[in-house]
Amino acid sequence: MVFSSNIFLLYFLPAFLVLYFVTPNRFRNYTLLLASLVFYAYGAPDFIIQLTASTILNFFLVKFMCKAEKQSIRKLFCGISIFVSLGLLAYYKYGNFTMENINAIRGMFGSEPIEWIKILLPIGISFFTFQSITYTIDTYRGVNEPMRKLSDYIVYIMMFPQLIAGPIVRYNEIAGQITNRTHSWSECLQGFYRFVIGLSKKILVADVLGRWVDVQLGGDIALLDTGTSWIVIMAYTMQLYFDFSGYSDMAIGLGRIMGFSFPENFDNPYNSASISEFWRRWHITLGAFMKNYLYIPLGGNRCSKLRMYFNLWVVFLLSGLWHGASWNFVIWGAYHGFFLVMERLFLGKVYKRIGKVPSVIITFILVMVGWAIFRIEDIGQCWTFISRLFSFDFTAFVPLKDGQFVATLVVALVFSFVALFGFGKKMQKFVFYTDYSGWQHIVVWIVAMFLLLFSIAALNVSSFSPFIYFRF
Amino acid sequence: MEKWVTRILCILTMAFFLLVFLQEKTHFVHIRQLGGVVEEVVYPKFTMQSYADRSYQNNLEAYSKQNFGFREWFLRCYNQYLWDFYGMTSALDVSVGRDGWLYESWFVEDYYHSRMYKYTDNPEIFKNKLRTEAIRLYKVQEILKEFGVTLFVMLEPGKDRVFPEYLPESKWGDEPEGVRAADYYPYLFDSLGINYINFSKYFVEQKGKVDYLLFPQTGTHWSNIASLYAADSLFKYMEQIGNKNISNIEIGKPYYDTTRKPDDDLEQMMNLIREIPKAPNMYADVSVVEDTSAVKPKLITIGDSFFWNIANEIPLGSIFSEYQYWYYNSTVYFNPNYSSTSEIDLLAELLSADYVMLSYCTAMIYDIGNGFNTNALVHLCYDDAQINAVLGGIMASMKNDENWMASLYEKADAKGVGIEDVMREDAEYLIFTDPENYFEELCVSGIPTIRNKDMCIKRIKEQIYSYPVWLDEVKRKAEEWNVSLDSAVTRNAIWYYNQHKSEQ
Repeated sequence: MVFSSNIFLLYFLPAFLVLYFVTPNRFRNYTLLLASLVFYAYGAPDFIIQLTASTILNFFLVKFMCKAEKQSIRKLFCGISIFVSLGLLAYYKYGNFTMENINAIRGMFGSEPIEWIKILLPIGISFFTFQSITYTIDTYRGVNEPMRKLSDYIVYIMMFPQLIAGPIVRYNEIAGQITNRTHSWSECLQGFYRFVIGLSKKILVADVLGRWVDVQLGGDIALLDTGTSWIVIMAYTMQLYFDFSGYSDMAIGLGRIMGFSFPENFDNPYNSASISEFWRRWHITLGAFMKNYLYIPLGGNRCSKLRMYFNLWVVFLLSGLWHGASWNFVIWGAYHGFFLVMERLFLGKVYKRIGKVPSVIITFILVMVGWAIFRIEDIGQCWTFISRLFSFDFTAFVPLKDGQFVATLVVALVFSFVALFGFGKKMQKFVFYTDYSGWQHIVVWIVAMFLLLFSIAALNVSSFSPFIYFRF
Repeated sequence: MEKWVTRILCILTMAFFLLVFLQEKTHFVHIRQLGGVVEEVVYPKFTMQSYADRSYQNNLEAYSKQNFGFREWFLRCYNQYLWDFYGMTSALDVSVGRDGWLYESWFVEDYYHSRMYKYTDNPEIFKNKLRTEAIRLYKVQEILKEFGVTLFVMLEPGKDRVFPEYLPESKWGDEPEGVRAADYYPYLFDSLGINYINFSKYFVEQKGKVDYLLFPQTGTHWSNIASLYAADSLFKYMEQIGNKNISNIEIGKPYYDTTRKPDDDLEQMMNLIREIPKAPNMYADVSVVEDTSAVKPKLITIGDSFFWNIANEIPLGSIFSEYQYWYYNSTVYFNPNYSSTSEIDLLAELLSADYVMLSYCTAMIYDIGNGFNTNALVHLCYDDAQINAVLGGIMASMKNDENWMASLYEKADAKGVGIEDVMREDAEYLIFTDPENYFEELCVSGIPTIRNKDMCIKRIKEQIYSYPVWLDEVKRKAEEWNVSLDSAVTRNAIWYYNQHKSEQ
């Protein structure tokens, strides 16, 4: 089930909220657990059993780990737990990719390809795996006590707001809230506003831009002129941000309704003045995970410069691979890793010298080119597209006639860069982090309801394409 | 205050979802229905299989999209926003032209680019395809003529050709224009001698000479009033080619009025809150002129939706003894016994008709007949036993081809039907798509000499019954042979057919 569907918006969510709030406080985790199982089982019937079984297994592995007195036994259980989590991820997410590459190599040597049955990717497995790992490692490190109740642990791992697309909530950030959290009418409303903002970002901005981008990239990329190519990649850059951050907003909003405080996942990433800063603002929880559970264990900064550059590269290669099992994601990770190393070598100094605005523009262009690699899976096509970006051929440029697309792109750009200015920052602070007064609640509620109605309308309008008469 | 406000707003939020739910279940608010027709999604039945393959979830979402409460308001509001702010529509097949004129997208495509590209990129291959189809149609026309049935084509106009000045800009750029079927078919009809009336050409000529709009601003079909004048010409043309006196229609004095259905059919599909501002069009009343000497022929129309204007505006029952409308040669209208052409006795219907009209507009004539031409041709020339023999041969070939059978098994699985059904369906598709590949006699350049034996015998039987002298002779034989009259008539018809089949 996805948030931007009628079944979720009009039936599941209202029914869940009623059930959740009529349940006495101490049983609310059970309601949340049940709803999360239904939520996942509805959308991914093939995987609910594996997911639940592996969650239960991990709970007991960590329990045994904590009970063990010998450090070697603790290490063993910790290792098994991580191996199980990563094993599932490796099998489901990278099984097909691995087999395709093995067969490609065999083909080069004239061998017959190995036959295998394509593995379906369980939705949300990347997020689920990382949360399991944070639980294991945080508990192993002694940052937190393990969960006492299995049901609470399943709630932490499978809680429906963030199961599908994050944010990746580290165990130590939320451990206390699972067993003890407060609810208030005001928090519910604030959560609702945040949810609606996320929904609007997804449906009213990302989907509109996405439809146009799909049409452009669905044609012959080689025929795109430079102007159109830049508009395409700029639109995709906005689509990706509004889609992903919209989903995070929805998750954070839903969590807030239920009394959880999930970490922020985006902080105006396109206002970054360097790639390093971009990664502190884009998918923040993934960055934090990679830093705490991969970069630092590899040695982080506390090693030779060469080793540090190597660590950075490894982290970003794996980050790329985490986003998807294909070579373009690996290249995308390497691309970002390359600029991170360059910034540490000399580019960072250049940015400082040229000032904030030029640095933001350069970084934005680098990020956009990176998104081209991210979006176009076929390496040859991707290269053609990037060539078109820099071919300076404007002969075939046709002014945009799709008014909705143009207006949406402009709105997206304004909201993406507004925080560069003082008033923009104030506006964001007011919208996201202010405890509203009574009147402010009324005004914001009216706006939120308008956006909700509009989003539901937009979500459904594309599904209604009537004929004048039935053809048959 | 804040505590109360937040509490009330939370309750109002939940009340919104409750109202939507209640409206879906009870329809307690009466709402104007959405325009246009869609395929109705039925509430899916839950089974473990449908749940596991996610078809249940997909269908439930589709059902919800079609039925959630206040859907009509939601969609109209969003459509109005698209129209007011961007001059856009969410209706897929509607293209917005200049000055608020609307077109169906395939007319726009045909005008700028031609719809040939749906079939091939090669103009010569496409011309050959049209020629093949026209030759088949000519053969059907000539065979039906032997039985007193007049076949003809009505080429309906396209809005793009009559009002090109309001078309949206071309999106095909420098791409080459292809061959347009509506331009090439008249040439073929003329050269082969196929009966046709060309309203496409006539409407373009009439533009500017009449007070009324030939096409409405926000509709796709010929305007209500233009279709009346076209029908008047059509009936006169039918009288001429069929050599029959048919009742005429009288069209009253045109008058201005607000837009009537279906003159705003495209606008209705856009589902806006407010009407698109447009100048009023003219309308006229129509009646059938009483004529005791007129005959009431039977008409079968095979074609697209343009005929609806005529069928809905003119009392065809006063002009024709029977009129059937085989919509895209699929759904049957105005015949209480059948709803689909797959159910009808094709030969019985065709041979009892006086006129068979293929009625297609410029953008739809690419598929003229929608399979009628080949189906009729095969059935007019071969009886069921012969057709079944050919089908059996193809099915035997299928069984000898492993790959073919594998794909058929896949198809049968996907459709949930038996393998024999799929084999027969595919074999029928083959022979009715390219009958010349399977029936040698259809390859001849002239009119095939072979005729459906059953059809001929039936015709001879009708002749025996209608000639008193012949019938008396058969009655005598029936007594002599001690069999029923019908049995004797059949025997005589078969004997007569065998004696004269070389002349058929």
